[in-house]
Amino acid sequence: MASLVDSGLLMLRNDDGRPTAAETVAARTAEQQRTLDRFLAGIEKRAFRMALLATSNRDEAFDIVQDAMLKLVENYSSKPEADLAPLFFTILQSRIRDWYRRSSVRNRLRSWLGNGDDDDDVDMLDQLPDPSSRTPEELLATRGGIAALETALTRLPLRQQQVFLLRAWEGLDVKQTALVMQCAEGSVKTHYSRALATLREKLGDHV
Amino acid sequence: MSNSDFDKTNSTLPSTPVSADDALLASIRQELDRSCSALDGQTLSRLHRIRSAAIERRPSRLQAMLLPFSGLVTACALVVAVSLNWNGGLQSEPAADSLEDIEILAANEALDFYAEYEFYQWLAQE
Repeated sequence: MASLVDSGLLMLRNDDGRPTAAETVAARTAEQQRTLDRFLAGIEKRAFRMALLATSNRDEAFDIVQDAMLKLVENYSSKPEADLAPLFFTILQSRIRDWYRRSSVRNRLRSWLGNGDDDDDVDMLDQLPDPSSRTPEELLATRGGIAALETALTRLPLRQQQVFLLRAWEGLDVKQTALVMQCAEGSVKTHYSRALATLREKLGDHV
Repeated sequence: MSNSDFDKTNSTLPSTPVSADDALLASIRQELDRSCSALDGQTLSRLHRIRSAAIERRPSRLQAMLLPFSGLVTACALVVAVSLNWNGGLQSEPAADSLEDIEILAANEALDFYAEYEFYQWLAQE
């Protein structure tokens, strides 16, 4: 790099002590990196929780967050700081939708292949109740509000869930949420309203 | 609430009247924030690694600046390669000379005749 500067391919050193173009670029780059790091550090936990609520799988959630971060950094690192959050959540939602589509196809294939199995061969373990399938009210009694809330959120349809989180938790307005979710503003209102009604019904005064 | 960099002054939360819904929403936000604060060290460490990897992978501004130069260098190299090949195509005479030499060597005439070929040519013109 120094040789490029010295050879004059980049802007040459100023005699009056002002920073050179290369130094200016380097300083700007470092500042952008700090901005990105600060932004991602502030948002990573919530992004992970959103992805985890969508997938119910830690590894999948980590992958989704990682993809979203990489994509944001690679393509939008020069964007103003105020634009980073909508961009990041748009990417995150896109990744969640991709995951959902893949999972749907996989589940359809699995159920289709499963139809060929012998129906009489029932595993008794499958008949046992799944601890994670307890109702929010039951969880509330044993593990407190967050478990009940997680369960209630996890049981929401994906779009309702994510719209609710973006609106209620991230504080996006209807228009921003519609852009992030790539749907109409009317759909955002409907999803949000239904999600809130369900949560009100499931959680009531418990949370 | 989160310390997101969103400009939340513009964001209007759902316009339900002040009611039990507001209290429910506030509680939900609080619980979600608490769940983030309660993430275990392993999760936080992994998130940190993911973030660091993303930041490091970022193409630097200097690299971006050098891209046009690398393109220029590639273009120059391509031009040189093509022109060399072009000239090489035109300079096919050595190959023709070689074929001529083979013909001479394969001929039955004495090699002396070819050695003196130019002399005989001059003699014929005189």
